Amino acid sequence: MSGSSAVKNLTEIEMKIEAILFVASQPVTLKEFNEVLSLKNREIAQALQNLQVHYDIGHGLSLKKISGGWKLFTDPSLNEILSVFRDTSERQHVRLSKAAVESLAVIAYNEPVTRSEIEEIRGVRCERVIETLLSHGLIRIAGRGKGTGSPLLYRTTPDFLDIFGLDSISELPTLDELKDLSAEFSLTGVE
Amino acid sequence: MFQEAEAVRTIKRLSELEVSVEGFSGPLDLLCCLVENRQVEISLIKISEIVGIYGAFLSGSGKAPLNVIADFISATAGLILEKVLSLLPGYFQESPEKKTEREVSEEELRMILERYLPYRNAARHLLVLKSERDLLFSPEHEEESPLYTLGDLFSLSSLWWDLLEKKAGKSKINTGKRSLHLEGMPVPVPDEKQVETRISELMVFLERVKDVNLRRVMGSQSDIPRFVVTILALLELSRLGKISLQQEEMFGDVRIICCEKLDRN
Repeated sequence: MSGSSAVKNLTEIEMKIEAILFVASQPVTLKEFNEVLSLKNREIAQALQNLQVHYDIGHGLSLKKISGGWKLFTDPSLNEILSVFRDTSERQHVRLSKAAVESLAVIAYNEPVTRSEIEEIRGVRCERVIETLLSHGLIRIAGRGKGTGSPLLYRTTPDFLDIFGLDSISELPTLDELKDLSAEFSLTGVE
Repeated sequence: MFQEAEAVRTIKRLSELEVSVEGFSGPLDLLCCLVENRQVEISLIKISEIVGIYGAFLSGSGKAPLNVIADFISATAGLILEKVLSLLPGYFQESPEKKTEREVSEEELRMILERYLPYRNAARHLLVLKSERDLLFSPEHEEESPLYTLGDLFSLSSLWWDLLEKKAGKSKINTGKRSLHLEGMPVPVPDEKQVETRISELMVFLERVKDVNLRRVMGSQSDIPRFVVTILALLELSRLGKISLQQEEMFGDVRIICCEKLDRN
């Protein structure tokens, strides 16, 4: 692949967008691009698509739509070398227990949801798991429910989308679709 | 003596062994989960022993990242809380609930499991997504700037101005009497001083034009602070009997009539 692709110069808009993405610490939304570049959303979206194609071939970077915005990442194929180069895998990648991911799933599909509702579905106590998820910033308190004692309601955060590589919650399969996934998971070896 | 030797042997064994428990952040996480689910009786666990062994393991390993220590403290705190609750009277009042749980019929249990299964699959799906996402790296950015209180902001801005002046070659030792005049920002003047100045301006103007309306006095300078200062100045001149103010219609223009030769002193 190396050297086989023709070098394509970026347009001025694409260069500007590339520079913004390079310095951005969070995913950049179309609105944010618009505020800076004063261009039509259509033009920005087109430039982003062109950049995405540009990075797809023969680059160490990739452009992804994540958590409602756009962000530059390293190419997935370079994972090993980057883990060796920089001990960031521990810091950048949050490790979550099975219980934590399961609780996150319940919250993501039912948000806003109370702790007792999560516990009812999972059949176990979730106090500590919720505290862990709150401390990692993967869920947030989203007000209080109307039930007895006005229990706290929980919602997922943009960090949740980021950590699971999602653009929005709607990208997740529906619960009905998930009912039939057991066979698929056993085939792919996911425990 | 025997116990100490045993502890040393345990620590040595632990430092040679890395335990990875699938689905859990570590052995302590697993223990906490077992305790929470009442699969292990917390009152039988010596937390001090766990803390001692784990502490020695960390110091022996020579690396103790902050997040690992924080997780450890959090897990230990959770265990202590469980233990305290288990030792306090009334802890086992939950037992009737357990009885109810045991009384769940087979049909109800099947329904509970049916409802739970999609979420279990959702968790698996999320784990697949996460493993894909973990292959991606993005630039590490410094932590967000710390928050400053108002006082801090003042000293911080003073520091910035010093640096700017230094860069511009106007370096002087900070005398502590910094001028707060910023480009484009009006210099703050005490209210009474502003009104006095405006009275003087109006007196000069009214000497030339004896009968005028407020709109003309204001001209193009119609910003609110200037308007307020002008009104205050006119009221003061009216109080002194030097002008008379007339307004025929509510919210209409105000007519200003000069009553006598204005004495500017």
